[in-house]
Amino acid sequence: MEMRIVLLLSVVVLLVSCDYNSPRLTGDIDSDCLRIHPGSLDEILEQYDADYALLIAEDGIAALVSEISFPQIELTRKDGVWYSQADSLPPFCSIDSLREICVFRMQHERSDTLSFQHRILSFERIGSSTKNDYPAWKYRRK
Amino acid sequence: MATALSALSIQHEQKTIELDRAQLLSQPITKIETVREKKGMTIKEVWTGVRIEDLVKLVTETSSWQTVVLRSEDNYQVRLSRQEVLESGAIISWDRDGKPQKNNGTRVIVPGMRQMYWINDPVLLLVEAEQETIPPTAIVNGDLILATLTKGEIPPFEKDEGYFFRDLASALFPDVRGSYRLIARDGITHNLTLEPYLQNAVVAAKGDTLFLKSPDMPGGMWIKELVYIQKDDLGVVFTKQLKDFAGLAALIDIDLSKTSLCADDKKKTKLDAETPFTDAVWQKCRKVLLWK
Repeated sequence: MEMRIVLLLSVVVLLVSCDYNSPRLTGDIDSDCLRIHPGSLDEILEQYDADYALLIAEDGIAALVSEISFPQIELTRKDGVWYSQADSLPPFCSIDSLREICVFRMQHERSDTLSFQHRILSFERIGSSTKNDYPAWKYRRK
Repeated sequence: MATALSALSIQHEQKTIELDRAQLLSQPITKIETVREKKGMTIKEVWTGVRIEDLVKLVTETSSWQTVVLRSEDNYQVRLSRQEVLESGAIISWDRDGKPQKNNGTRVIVPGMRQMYWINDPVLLLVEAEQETIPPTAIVNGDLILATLTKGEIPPFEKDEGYFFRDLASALFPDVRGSYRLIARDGITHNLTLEPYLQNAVVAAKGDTLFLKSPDMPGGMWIKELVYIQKDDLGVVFTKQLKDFAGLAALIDIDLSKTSLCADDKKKTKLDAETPFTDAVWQKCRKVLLWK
C-alpha cells in the first residue's frame, strides 16, 4: 500500500513539474517530439548534431539559423511564456511565444512528415538579414 | 526560332515594359566596334543597337540597380554587373556590319567579355538591386557526401553516370527551394534557381571531374569542372580539382586573414588553409566552420 502511495505521489510530482508550455523539439531527431529546458540553444542541441534550426513562434513566424548562430541564442521562460533571446542576431531571431524548434541534420535518414524538409515546405521564406556576420532567414507559415 | 516580331520584356521590381522589334529600334541607337579572335584570325565588327544602360532607364530612373539578367527563349541566361554594363557599353544589337542579324533576331554584345555572354535573341532583361551574397559560415566536404549517395544512371543523359542534383541538395540544405551559387574550377560563376534550372539537373561524374548538366538549360550554361555549390550560408566543395582551402578561398572570395577554420568535431580542431586537400585531415573532415 505504501509503495502504491509513493508511486502515485511520484507520478503527481512528475506531472506537476512537467512544463507543457515548453517548446517542442521536432524535425530530424530520433524521437517524435521532445520538450526542452531553458538554456543556450547550442547546449540544448549539442546531442542532436544539428546543422540548422527553425525557431517557430506561436503566430507562425519563424527564424532559420545555422549552427554557427546556436551559441548566440538563449531560451528563457517568463510567466509561463517562452522566448528566444538573440541580441547578436537579426531582430526576428528574438521570438516571443516560442512554440517549436525544428532541427535539420544533413543526410538524416528521416523522410516522414515530421522530417525537417517536410516541415519547411509548410513555410515560405519572407526575408533574410545578417547582423554581426550572423545570417538568418525569416519564414511564415503558409 | 526568333523572328522579327520577338518582344523584349524589361522588368524591374513591379514594373514591366514590353518592347517589340519596332519599339526596340526606335530607342537611341549606338554603334560599337569589337575585335575578337576566332580560329587564329582577328575579326573586327561594327554592331548597331541600343545600349543596355538606356534600356534599364526605361524601368528605373534611379542608379540603385546593381545587376542585369538577360535570358533567351531557350532559358540561356547571363548576369552582368552594373560595372560590366557601364564599362563595356554593352548593347542589344540587330545589325552587324550593316547587315541584319540572322533571322532578323537580336544579340547581346558585351565588348571585352567572353562570347558566352553574347546571347542570341534575349527575351528578358531583368534589372535587379544588389544581390546579397552571404559569405559561407560553413563548408561541407562534397566528396564525402557524394560517397554516401548512389552513383548511377542519370537520365536523360544516357552516356553519363552520376547523381541527381536534387538528391545532393536534399542531403545538404535545409530548404532546397531558391537560388544556388555554382562555381567551376576556372572561376565561372552561375547563380541559378531550383526552378526552372536545377530541379532536373544532374552532376555527371567522370574520373575526378564533375559536370553539371540540366535538360532545362542550354548546353552553353552547363558547368564543367564544378568545384563549389553554395546555398544561403552553406558551401559545398568538391576538392579533387583544387589544391587546398586557400585556393578555394581565392575562388569564392573569402578573406582568410579575417577567418579562422575549424572542423565541426567535438574538439573544434583548428585547420590550416594551406594543408593540401589530399591530406588525411581534410579527407576525414565532413564540415568546416568559418569563424570571423
